[in-house]
Amino acid sequence: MSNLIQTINLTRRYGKQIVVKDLNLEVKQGEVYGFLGPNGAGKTTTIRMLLGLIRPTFGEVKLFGKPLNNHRREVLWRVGALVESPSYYGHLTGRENLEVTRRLLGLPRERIDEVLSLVRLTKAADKKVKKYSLGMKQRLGIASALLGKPDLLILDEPTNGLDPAGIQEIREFIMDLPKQYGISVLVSSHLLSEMEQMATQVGIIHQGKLIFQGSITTLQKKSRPRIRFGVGDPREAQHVLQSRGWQVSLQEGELWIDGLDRNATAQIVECLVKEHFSVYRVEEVKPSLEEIFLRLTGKEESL
Amino acid sequence: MIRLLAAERLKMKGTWIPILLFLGPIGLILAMMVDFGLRKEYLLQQNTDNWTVLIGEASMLLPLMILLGATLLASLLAEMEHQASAWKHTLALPLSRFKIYGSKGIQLIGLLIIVAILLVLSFAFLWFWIDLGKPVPWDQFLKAGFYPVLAVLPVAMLQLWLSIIIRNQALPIFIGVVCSLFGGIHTKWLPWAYPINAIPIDSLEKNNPAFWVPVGIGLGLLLLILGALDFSRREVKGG
Repeated sequence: MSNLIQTINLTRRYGKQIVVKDLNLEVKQGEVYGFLGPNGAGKTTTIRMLLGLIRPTFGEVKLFGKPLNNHRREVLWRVGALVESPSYYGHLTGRENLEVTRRLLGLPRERIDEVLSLVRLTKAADKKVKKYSLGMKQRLGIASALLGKPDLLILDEPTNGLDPAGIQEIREFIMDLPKQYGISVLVSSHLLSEMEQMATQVGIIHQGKLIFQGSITTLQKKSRPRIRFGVGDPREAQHVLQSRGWQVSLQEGELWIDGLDRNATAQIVECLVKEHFSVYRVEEVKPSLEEIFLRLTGKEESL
Repeated sequence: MIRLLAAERLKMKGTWIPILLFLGPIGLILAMMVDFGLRKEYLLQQNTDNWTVLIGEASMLLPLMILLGATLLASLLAEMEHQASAWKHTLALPLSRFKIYGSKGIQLIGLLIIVAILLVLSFAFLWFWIDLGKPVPWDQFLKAGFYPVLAVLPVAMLQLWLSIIIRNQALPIFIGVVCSLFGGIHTKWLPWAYPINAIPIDSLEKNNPAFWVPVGIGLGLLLLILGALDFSRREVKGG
């Protein structure tokens, strides 16, 4: 199956500032594609270009293999979208809000009850949306995106501002979409931990550039594990190992060495034992995705 | 297009828009009731027929009321979408942008036509309440209700465009109010003068509905199309 979303050198400038630069996204059928990046990295700008809300300065968007700029309406029939904060008419009920979109698209009436139950809003359907919680508004937005039975769902920060329970709920819902309904998803977020659990593929954007694209496991392999040694008298042990040319750091009473293979690990253990240090723990520690992300983006501040 | 208009109708539910439609005609009725209640004898002793007296008095109020009404209705129709952050949702749907804008314009024209009908009824009510006698000039009621409303279409379409492209409604409303008050004073050619130009009354010198009503409709539709074309090529950066 070809790519559902493909962007070719997608670039967008606002004035002199380049917000998105040479982006080559590839989203395939059946995936939950996590589009990751710190705030202001260009995620929303990219998503707006994917939906034809704004035009690329340079480059091209293809949806379902067709260029967006001259097949916009044709391909958007197969796309459901939620861009940033949810759009809703507060003075109307949830059901009426969906009815507005249903009328615009000329869809059958039954779809409203179907999508309401999909996002579990059936009970609140006849309440005014201004009385909804943020989580309910977000779910209503997703319901509205699902109304036209899309093959591809594009969700921009769908968990933004939700409490942990709400985040969990949306996350589980998104994970089920490809398996249960055959809907592929592109979901953006600035939280890697969120993606770790629901995305099958990730694209990481930083300062407008795609700095990684691939599966989560590939991302994890990108950085070598570290080995942690628990030894008696760690300060002295650090000295001894350093004098033999190893890069050793001491953290919270334990020794850490980067990028050791099996052989090197064995050598260090041997050395420590020969010097009569008691070695009570040798452990491989994989960096969390958060750390990988930080290393890739070189950003220490909040993501 | 029918689907889009059906969606527009639903969105108005529970808003101030339907109430606003009645406000103008009711204001006109009340003002005329006071006017004729206080000085009916004086007004009717003038050297003209009773209808000319009534429309003459009403023409003091009617054009400004219609101009301000069109400004407010245009703003409410646009504000509804701004408030809902609906543009990014609606414009990501597989719909023609030209038609999305067009349906707003047609909705506004529809609302103004309701105002025109209410004005016709208002004139009829006033005629009988003041007891202006027979024959009842029904054809004049129709003209007095519809002509100035049709002549306001250019201003209505201009305001609709402003209210849609400017998010903060204070600015388009300010422009609308200032132009309504002063835009028609020194010239008959600016659109803010069209409603008064189109009032069917012989005693006002510059009035010529036969010319200004078609100009109003024509220019109104032209501005609707230009607005829709401009809207179609705009980018959606905000809500």
